[in-house]
Amino acid sequence: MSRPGIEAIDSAGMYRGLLVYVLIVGAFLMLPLVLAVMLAFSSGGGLEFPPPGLSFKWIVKAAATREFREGLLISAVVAVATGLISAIAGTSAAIAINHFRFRGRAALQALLMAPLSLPGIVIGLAILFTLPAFGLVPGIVATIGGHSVIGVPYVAYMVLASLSNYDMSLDRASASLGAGQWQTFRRITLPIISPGVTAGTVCAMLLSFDNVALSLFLSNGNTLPLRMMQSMQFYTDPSVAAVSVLLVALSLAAVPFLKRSFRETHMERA
Amino acid sequence: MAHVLSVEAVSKSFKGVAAVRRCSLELKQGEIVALLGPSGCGKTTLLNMIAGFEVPDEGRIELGGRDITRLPAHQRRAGMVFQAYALFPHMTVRDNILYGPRVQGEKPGVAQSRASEVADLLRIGNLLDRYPSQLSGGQRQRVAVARALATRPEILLLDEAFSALDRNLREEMQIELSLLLRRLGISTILVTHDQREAFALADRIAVMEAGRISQIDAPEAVYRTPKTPFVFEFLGSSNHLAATVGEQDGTPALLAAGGKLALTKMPVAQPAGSALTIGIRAEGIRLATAPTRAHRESPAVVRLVTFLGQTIRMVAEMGDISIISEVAAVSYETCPRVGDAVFLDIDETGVHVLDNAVAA
Amino acid sequence: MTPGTAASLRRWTPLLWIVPAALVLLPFFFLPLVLLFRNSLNRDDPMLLMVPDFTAINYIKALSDPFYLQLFANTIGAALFVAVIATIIAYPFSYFISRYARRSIGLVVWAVYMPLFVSVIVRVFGWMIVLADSGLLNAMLLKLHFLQTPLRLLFEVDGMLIGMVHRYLPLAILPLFNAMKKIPDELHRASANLGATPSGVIRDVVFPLSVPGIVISLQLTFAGALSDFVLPQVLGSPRFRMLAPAIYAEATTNLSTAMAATLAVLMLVFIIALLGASGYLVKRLTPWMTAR
Repeated sequence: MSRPGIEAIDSAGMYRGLLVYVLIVGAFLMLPLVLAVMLAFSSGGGLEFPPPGLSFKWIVKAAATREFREGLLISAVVAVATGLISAIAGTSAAIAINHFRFRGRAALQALLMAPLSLPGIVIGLAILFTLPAFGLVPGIVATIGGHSVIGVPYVAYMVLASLSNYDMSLDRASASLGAGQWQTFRRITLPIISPGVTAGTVCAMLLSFDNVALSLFLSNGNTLPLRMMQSMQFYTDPSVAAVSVLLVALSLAAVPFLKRSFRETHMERA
Repeated sequence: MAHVLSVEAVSKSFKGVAAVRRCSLELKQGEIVALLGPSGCGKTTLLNMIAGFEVPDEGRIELGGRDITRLPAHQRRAGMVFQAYALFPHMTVRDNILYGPRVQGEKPGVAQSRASEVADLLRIGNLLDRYPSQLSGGQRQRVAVARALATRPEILLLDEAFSALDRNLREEMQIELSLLLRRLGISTILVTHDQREAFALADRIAVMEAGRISQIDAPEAVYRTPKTPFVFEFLGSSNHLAATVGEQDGTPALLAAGGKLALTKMPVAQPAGSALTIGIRAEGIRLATAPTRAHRESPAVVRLVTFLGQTIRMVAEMGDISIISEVAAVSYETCPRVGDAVFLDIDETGVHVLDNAVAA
Repeated sequence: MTPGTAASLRRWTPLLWIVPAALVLLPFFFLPLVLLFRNSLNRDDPMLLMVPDFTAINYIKALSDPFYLQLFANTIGAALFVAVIATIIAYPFSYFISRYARRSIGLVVWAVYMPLFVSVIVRVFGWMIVLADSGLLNAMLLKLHFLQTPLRLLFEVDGMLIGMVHRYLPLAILPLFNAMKKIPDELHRASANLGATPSGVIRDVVFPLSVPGIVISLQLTFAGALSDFVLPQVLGSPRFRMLAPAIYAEATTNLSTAMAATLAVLMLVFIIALLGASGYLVKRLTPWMTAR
């Protein structure tokens, strides 16, 4: 018996009114995504809506545009590298915070999470100032470093969420059976928290792939989102929509990885 | 005398699964009735329908002469004490208690005097400025009861209201609340799966099984004269034995343990040769070291003697069956020891036929 | 190994686990923040770019020059508008999904998460389709004869604000949803049982217990809108300047690096102050959570 009697307490009118409201807001949230995808298949030449007809010409044009192809490649490389770095550094930081009790632990956690609450544009500019100190110039390496600043705390956050259900006596049980700390981590902890690690890594990759504020300063203006932004600012045609289809598809592909972890952390705990 | 509450043939199912089936129940003014049963038996659903948290599929509920079957919960005047107390965490104890009178539109003076009255009754006058998070479990329960009473409900509903307390505190609170409810003459329904709690508080106990009320009677009646095998089994600890209808020395008898155990004083309705299951309460069996009457059964052997405080539990083996006996602890010094040969002394008025449909 | 060394080793293991994160965050986050602050104290020279110095001149200029004051006023005004509107829209929405869609993660809940996962560029592009002179909104309004000539929304403040409300609405919904789903159903029932009407339950139980969510929603959306670059840059008006594009312009086209650093530090200070204020506010508004 899950949730008895909601319908008996709340007024039916209020429920129906809210339902309509929620559907309208939901439609508002989805509207631009749906439109962007629809326009990709327009036979028209501009932003007119509804589209005059159906065609694949903008998909073809986008695929033939060198800036987009190059941007996609650069963004993909950056996203994968960022995902790897974030997975390793984020997961181990989460373990440090969850498994150990030491002085300054709360402060360490706050410092670790700090990049998430500070604006990307500020972090980007600040990193730009620092690049010469490492002998770097804006480019792929600088972009990966910058994106990892967001990715590491993100993974740590998601892993900490899945560790909040983690029973620490499992570690003691494993140790009592003769496993060392590393073995315990690899054979016990990691399998249990792997949904959180996966979800965090996928999120870090998506964030990197979509990032604008950091790439603005750290790349050569050639990541995919920047290329799209440039094309939107100067000549607006539906080939941007065609690239959008790719991005929406990519996000949808990520959903299965996120679903389980989101359910664990956001939905189930009542 | 008019009934405060009458529940008439109420049913409720969830997604096609029947939770409550045609339950009827009547409560006299000032009476305390326990709905007792295992989890999933429908007792909470029945309580929720009385409180207005569920709408019955069919049937009718009257409270104080009003038909409340479909009345919204907030108009019912049925005060509930929730299992986890459901105290409003953002309100002090005082505001929790004042909440009911306030939302029911009582004047501030009236609300205040009600609050101090119930706070005195529950002895929580010193806690009024605290938040629920600052209270102990027992204090929370007092506040929850006070809050429900402050609305002057026609009926008080207790939903597993003691289950969150430690055993000693629980029994203390049961006694205190039992005295208080009787003193105030408040009609009460309590839902519990704990038979001790039902016995401790209730004037009558309704034993529920699979959505139905199996029996509703005074506590000693449901215990001593259970009307269904379920009621017998749910209350107290008991022995289940396979038996056949036969005869001993010419009188019809129930024979168990391969004829080693014969019960002759039982009225037997089944034809000779029928197989059935009988139940005997653990305290209905005494183990005697010497035959008291003309015992003809073969002796059993004591395998385990456990001291439980108020009682002693012994387990004896007779052939391939085990018999559990529970006797008052005062006899601990004289009771049999492990390995002793014993004779069963059975109070046959406490023997129940549980199942006579067993195929041969 | 003696017990002593084992114990001291255990003391240092948390440090080992933190090393990879430190290798990323020290060079790419903490050191840059220090340098950012240091650069904000330098001087911009039209000829020599940034000149090392130790002066507060940029801060004085940023906080007194009408050009920058207008910039701050625009940014704070827009962010405040977005935060309030998004939180108001989010409140009933969150209430509904927290109460009725808790277990069955419906389409509606995905409508919240989905935009978070999709690039902001795509969302902005979608809004361009809606807001353009020949876009969806104008086409509809013209067809229904509400308008004679198209409304000019794209590249105006209005369009930017609509896009921002849309972008930050999920960030307003999530804290509210999280706060509301923590309210046990028993409290709703207890409130009704004591005589509160359905709207009374919301007023007396749901609202006060969701106050922390409201504060966090306002803070997140405000901080987001305050530092947003893409929406002002792509949907906004060149006549209504916002802080993030201004920082970018100072650092690149204007070659005023120290000024860019100063504006960035000011943005940072503002956002940290906001974080502190919202933490303090939550504590003040929820005395029951800290009562001992």
